[in-house]
Amino acid sequence: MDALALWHGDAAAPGVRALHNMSAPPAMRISIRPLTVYSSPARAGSRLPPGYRCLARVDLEALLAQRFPGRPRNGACQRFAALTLLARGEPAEGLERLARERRETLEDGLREAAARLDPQTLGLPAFALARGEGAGYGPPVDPVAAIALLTRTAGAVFVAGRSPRLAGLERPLPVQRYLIPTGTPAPVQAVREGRP
Amino acid sequence: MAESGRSDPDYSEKIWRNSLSDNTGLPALVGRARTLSGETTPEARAWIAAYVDALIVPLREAQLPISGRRAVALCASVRSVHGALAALGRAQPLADAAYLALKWGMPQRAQGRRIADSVLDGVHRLALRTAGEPESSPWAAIRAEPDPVRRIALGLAAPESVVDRLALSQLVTDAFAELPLPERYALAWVLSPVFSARDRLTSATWELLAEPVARVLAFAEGGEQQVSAHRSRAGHWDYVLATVSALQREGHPQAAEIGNLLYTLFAVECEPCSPDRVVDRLSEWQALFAPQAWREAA
Repeated sequence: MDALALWHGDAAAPGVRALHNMSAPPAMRISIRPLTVYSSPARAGSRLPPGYRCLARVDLEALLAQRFPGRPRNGACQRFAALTLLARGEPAEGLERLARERRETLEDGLREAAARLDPQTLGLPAFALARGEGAGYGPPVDPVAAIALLTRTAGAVFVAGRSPRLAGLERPLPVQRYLIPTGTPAPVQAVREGRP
Repeated sequence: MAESGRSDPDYSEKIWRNSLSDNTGLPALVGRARTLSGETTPEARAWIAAYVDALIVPLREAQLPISGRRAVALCASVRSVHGALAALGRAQPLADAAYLALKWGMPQRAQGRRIADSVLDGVHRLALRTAGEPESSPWAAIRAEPDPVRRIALGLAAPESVVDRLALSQLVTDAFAELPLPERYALAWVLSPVFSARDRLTSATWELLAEPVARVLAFAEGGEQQVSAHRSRAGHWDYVLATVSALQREGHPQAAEIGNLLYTLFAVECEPCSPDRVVDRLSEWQALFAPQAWREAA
């Protein structure tokens, strides 16, 4: 009787040629903690992953509340009208009149106004990643640049050369942070290892 | 044209013979085409030679290599097609004649291989860019460079009027297509800050670059994560850890970024790779795309 049969306690298992110790299954669980760089308390507070810089923090609802105080902004037409005025840099007084237009007309107007904004002139990079987590710090951005950023973002990716799109702008948006890869290392004071 | 005519079932042998008879005027046209072909100017001949020369590398890359003898025959074909077009009174530029000669002169068709028009279009466009360009021109240098990532660096160094947004995007997508997944991550990580400062890529190419970058970012933001892996991957995980630890011991300024990239490859992509090779490629490409490097190249 060979060792295999002895293990099974049965000599009638001649075809078995592999033993699985069930106390050690063939899968393992690894816990991975991403590596972080804390170069300064401010950086640690911003919770930025290493290799990224926050380009802008876009709080559209706060921008609208500041620019159009006390005016309704929940309907799609009101929002598109407000965004068009922001993009054109026109005064807030025209909001009610503009919001009475048909939705398609407002969408066309906003798309046209957004297309006129040149991200390069506004000092925006060619590319950035949008994160909708809301938390975290970031430099605020002026309303026109905010419109340029939001209308050229799709699938959490801002591309300056993209045609403006309005999907998602008809509803209140969470705060967006736009991150850009730095490409050069941040000054390192401590690299905290995230070994499992 | 003759090939398509012969394969047409309605184009019977009788019609074919009649069309070659004297009363159709075809022999006269052929004679006129031959005469005009022989009158090709020296400048046009030089351009045709340069065009065919520029076809060699792209055709080889497209898995459609042609021999030296075929290249010489192609030069003659371009002249003949140009002469025939002129004889028909169609004042088409030499480039159109070159495309027709290329399209119907490929030996692979005789072997029964179907050649996609899109492939030939791409090859023709590339050859048009380099035909007649001096050897010092950016496009000549790009075509002569076998490494696809170095081609991007050469394209980036060239003025936008020479290598436009579409062409540069093509170089990036070509390089992506040739690289294995771990090196695509490395390339995207190196290129995204470089091109972020210079708007020279199409949106579609940005989407391509953004995907790996966004995955690393999502992983880095995700906090501690539990990964279930087969025991056979334990060795690879040890290799990843050893590489990251070595970077940290050396005080590598980007140890954290590279570490997260390697962790993402292991945990998200489940991709077996050599971490050392990824680190080497990152160093090599960062040096290649360092601001001073491409400015010097320009």
